Amino acid sequence: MKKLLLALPIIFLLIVSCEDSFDPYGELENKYIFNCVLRGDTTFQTAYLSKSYMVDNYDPYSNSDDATIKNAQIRIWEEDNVALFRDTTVGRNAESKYKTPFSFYYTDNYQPKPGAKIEIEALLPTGKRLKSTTRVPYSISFRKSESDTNIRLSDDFVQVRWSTYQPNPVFIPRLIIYYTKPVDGQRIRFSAVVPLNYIEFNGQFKPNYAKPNSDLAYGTDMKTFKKAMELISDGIADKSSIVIFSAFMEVYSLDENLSTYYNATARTNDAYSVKLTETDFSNVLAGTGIFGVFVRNYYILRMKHDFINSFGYTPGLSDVQ
Amino acid sequence: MKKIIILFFVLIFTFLEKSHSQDLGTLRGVVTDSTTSEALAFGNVIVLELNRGASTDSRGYFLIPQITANKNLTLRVSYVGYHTKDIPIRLTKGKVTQYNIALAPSTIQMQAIEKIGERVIEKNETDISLQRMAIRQIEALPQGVETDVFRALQYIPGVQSTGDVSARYFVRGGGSNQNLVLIDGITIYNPFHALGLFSVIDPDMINNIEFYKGGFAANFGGRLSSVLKISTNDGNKNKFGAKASSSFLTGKLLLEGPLPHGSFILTGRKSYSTGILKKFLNDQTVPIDFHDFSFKANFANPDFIPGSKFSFNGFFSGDNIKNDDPFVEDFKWNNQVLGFKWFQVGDSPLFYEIGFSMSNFKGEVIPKLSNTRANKNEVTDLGVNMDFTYMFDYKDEIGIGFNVQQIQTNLFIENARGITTDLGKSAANISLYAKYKFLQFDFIGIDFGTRINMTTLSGNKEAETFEPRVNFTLNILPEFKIKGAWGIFQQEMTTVSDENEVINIFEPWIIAPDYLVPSKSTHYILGAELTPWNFLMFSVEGYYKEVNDLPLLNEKKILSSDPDFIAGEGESYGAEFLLRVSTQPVTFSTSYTNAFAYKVVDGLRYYPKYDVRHTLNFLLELNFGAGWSASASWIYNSGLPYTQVVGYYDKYYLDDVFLPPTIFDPRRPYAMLGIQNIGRMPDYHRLDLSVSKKLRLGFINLEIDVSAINVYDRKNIFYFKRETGEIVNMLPFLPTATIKVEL
Repeated sequence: MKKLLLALPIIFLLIVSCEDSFDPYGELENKYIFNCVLRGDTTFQTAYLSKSYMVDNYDPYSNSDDATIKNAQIRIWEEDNVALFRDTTVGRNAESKYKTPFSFYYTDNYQPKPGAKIEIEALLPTGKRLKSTTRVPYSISFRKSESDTNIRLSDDFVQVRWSTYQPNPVFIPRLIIYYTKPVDGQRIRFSAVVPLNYIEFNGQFKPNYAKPNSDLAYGTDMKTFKKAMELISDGIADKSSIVIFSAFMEVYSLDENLSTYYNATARTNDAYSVKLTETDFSNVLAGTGIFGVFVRNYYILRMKHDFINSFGYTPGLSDVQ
Repeated sequence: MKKIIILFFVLIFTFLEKSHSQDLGTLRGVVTDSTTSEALAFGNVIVLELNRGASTDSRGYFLIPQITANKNLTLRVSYVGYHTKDIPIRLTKGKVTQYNIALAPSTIQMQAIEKIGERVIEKNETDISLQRMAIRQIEALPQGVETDVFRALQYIPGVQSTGDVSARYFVRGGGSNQNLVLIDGITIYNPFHALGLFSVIDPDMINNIEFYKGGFAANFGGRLSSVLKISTNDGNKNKFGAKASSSFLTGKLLLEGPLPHGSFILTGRKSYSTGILKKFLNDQTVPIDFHDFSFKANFANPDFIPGSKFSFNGFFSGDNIKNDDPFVEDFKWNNQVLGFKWFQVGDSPLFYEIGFSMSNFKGEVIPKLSNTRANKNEVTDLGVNMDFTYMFDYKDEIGIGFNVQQIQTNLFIENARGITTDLGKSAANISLYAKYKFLQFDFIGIDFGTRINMTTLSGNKEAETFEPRVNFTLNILPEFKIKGAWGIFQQEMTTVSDENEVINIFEPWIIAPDYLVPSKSTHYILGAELTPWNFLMFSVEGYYKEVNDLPLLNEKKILSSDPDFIAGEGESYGAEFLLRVSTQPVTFSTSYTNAFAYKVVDGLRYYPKYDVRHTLNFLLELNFGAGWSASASWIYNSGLPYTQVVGYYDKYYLDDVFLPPTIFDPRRPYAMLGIQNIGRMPDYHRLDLSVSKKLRLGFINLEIDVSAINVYDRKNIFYFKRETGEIVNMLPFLPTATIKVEL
């Protein structure tokens, strides 16, 4: 009995003093990742192939071995037309954790046709084939009769409307002001994004940009537009050195796969829940990743000279009636 | 169905008219605290000359049939922590004679740790998997910031948590949404404050707790795993009183006092500092503010309706997380509960209770300008219930009840495409139950019955109409009992729970969709209890539980046409051992549980996140006298399951589609997960200590409690942040203190 009484605290102390090791990793699962996001407004398209990797500590950012897959054959079909991708490399920026050049695939000879069904295939050096399909979104038609065409001093609101044949469309709109200003004796072109509105928080104005949505219109009030105009010359004494050209309404239409992927990756959990997984979406067969298309649509909004002059800026285009 | 209703009412009126033996009488009464007139639940009453007795129920009522009439007898009434009282009684033949007994606390300074009376009289009571607790028992445990009912449950064998950060509990392999929480018979849908860290139930409002781990009788319905039945205090009928207390987290106030022919009680609690929460939330500051408030008023006037008692109660809780930053989302959720009850005892040994209730839960995620998805949930549950209990002369009981529930749920959630859908529904559930307690022989007790669902909430045609249940106790020897239970349990409400969340704000409730068969569980329980001496008790219980058609969130839902829920299966089994030694001034208990739980989804069988193979608890309570008491607990759990990382890849993030077509990396490491929950965390263990002192300063009763959680600062792993590699631990060494002032 005495021995038992002596043994119990010793067992307890042994349990208490043990620091267990924790290994969060299982055996590496080999997976191939294929990403190709096509742009509808250019013939230059890129694709990227890589494979999964494991790290030997808890920090996933510690990996510095480039997992890119080279020497694959990538083709894209649109009806009977085929475009081939070539592989190439470019240098990385100095902050990159990878020390080898960035390897990717490109073609400068393919522009997706609105409404077309397209298919992509990557044949890896190992013989494995990754495939995916998607449908190019239709371009949108801006409804000029219901949209502003000019921006005047007396306006209260700027609004642009459009229509589309796309079923279940998802758009990302933004309104941009193009201007130039002198930098080291050179006149450089810049752009300023006009948010939906500015939110004042802790004495600062934070821009609130539009999120992807299915709305067929975009609008902002003149107070916000003027605030964006004013911020262009923030810290510049000679306001007349700033030349304002026009405003552009840019609307990106996303195809169904890309909009789902965007929602799955760009939307976040709330600030306090702790979720141990991340929502994932892939439309790549035999691998993972995204094959999608987005189309850029734009609409020009000219600005009246008296409106530009009211900020002390110089108009860059002829005046509108 | 018409026949069932007719039979139901025929049974009621038949028993109402039941005649009694003319040589005997029935003794009925209520046992209360002499200082407050609060009911003393589960105390013992015995007629000494006949060696026949009964235990009080959760309302303090007792009934002993077949007592010799017209003879002077002695009734002994006892309750731990109170002076035993012998009172002379004399019954009228063929009648029910009522005696109301008030017991005096054993000392003013409560030198003994009060604990609930044990129902030693009813040896054949069918109480397998039932745990009764008094609030004093819960308060004697080491406190994590402050006394918490749900955290106290986690000391009971068969009850699991996924870590000491959360107050959520899991019973015998069932999900936390399979636990029914009732306050005075009314369902509380989201009984948690502060991201699930604490329960909403202020211990000061509680009179007694009955916790059914499984095999519960037919009067409870709507959940698959467990029932937590909380009965609240009535308030002091003798004098006005006030109690204030303060912890590192909240301030509390209680007011109580007499009303004409009744009493009232008001309790309120409000958070005032969230600094302590940083210990729970990985040093994160959460701008949370919460409160709860309860009231109860009761009325019992023999000149109005003899034998009646009316009560009106309410419970309100609210949580707000409000961020000043417009780019960080806000949250709010609250419970609102109102209830009215009419409890009636008549001239015959019939008790009945008629209740009306309303329980409402609202929860909302307000995204403001953040990227968070909007989420809004509301549940409104309106109920009418009638319960009739008739006790025969030969001790058998029959219970019949009728319940109508009208439930409306709204849930607006945004899916992966950003499309908002409404999963709301409105439906009514009408159910009856009938049960018979066969208690006439001391060597055996059997409680059998069924729930009868006349309508279903989900509207699915394959819902169960009958939920039969049976529960027995067999006294092999006076010191040795064998107990068992079997039953079918159905649940039609479910939560939209994400199994991969270790902390969530709240779980929205909905009525299960009609395309899924309502989930059903079957419990098989067998146990034994050995009490060789009064101070020592050893029990063992084995259980097997299978769950069919468990609604689970469809993790693979991408398209709006994909179903929101899919059906899974569940299975759990285990054995629970409990040893309790109670010799004043020491109470020691230890328990060991060996349990297995599985879920099957899409053909994949895996361990749910709360599957713990081995659990060992030691609890020591010491009463030094003169108001001093102390307790120590040591908890050991084998590791919780987790999903291993089986590699990373550089994922393409569309952070900004407006960026020019660059190949430069909008890519970040993304963790690939292996087979769900195949890995195990390191073992969990923790030592907690608590010392408390009660003293009287003039007309003030003062109680000071100092606790230390995780005394040896064990680094118990809570979770592994896969995206950053950070290991987040559970509670560190945490000293806390509470002070209570009572007038």
